[in-house]
Amino acid sequence: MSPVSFSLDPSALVWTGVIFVTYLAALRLRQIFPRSVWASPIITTSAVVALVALIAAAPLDTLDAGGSVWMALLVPATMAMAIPLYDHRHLLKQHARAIMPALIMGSVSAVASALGVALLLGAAQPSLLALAPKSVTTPIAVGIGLETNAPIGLVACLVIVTGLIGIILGPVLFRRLKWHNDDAAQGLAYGLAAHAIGTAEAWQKSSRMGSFAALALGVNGLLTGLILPTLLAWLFP
Amino acid sequence: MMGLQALRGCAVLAGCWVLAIALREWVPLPIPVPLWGMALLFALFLILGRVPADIRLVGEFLLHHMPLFFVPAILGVLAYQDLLRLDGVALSVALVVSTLIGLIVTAGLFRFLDPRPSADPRASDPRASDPRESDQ
Repeated sequence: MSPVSFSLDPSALVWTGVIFVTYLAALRLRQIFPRSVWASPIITTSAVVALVALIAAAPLDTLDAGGSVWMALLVPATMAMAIPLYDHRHLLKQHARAIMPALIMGSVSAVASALGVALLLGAAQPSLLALAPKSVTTPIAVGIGLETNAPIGLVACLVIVTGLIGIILGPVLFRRLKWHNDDAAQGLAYGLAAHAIGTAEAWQKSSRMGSFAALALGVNGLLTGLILPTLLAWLFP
Repeated sequence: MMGLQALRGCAVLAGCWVLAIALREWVPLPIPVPLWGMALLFALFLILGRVPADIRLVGEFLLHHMPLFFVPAILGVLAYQDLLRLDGVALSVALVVSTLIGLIVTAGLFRFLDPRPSADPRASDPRASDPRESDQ
């Protein structure tokens, strides 16, 4: 995570407030529409604040500084995933045999299909390198990007967009496949394919789904972080 | 009393955070600070044999409001509009296709390998309730 830079610039503090107030309103909207993906606080808050920032032509540095207070809390929030993991440890152990192959194959297929599609559509090598770590949580993805000399800004951006795609398409997909009552399978899929954004969303649905997601996030992050840099160095010498 | 409990929870989390930063520095593995912190807390719970109430209070509050903490990262995408334009179509298609494949393969393979109906036994959920109700 980026270090907290407490700016004394009052206009940055205004954005801290704008984000907070918008989030409170988004929580209210969620209560009114408890099921719609489009009422997901992560999407509504981001969309409204982005719109306000574009209309107000706010300098992105100021927006960043204002948001950094909230962003810093991502670290303890991610750490706190140890709580649902601990609560569900017996459940996770009981399903371990199915969990590990699912996570490994899920991870490999997500990376391979991303690279395959982009190659077919003629993406340049920097884009390919930035695409590879997109399914892992931002701090790990940026770490991998640094190892493989990928454009870091693009890496972070693709990771975030992946998370958003995951939580927008996931509910539709699982409903169509009739898997939407399987908290374990959905949690694993969200944590793997949509990393921490998917995990945050899964946690909103149930603590059970959240803990499967947290497990997938952690395992995928570790495995990808350890394997992908070596693999990419071999593929793109 | 509630305030004191929350303060103690914050103190433990902050302590783990600092320790996680130290481990990130010392251990030459690409493991980021949040994952170290998660591992430390998990180890603490295993040693204690439970999740202390003060840590649960603060931790579940943070988990519950994670969407707020993600908003600045998402707003950061605004800065990369030009980069996205470079290979925009290829990247967008690749992201959508691969995310769908990742979701389907993970959930599908898990369901295939684990035919036990894992949807119903809410009973095996130790808290057996939605987090929205439990942290009121």
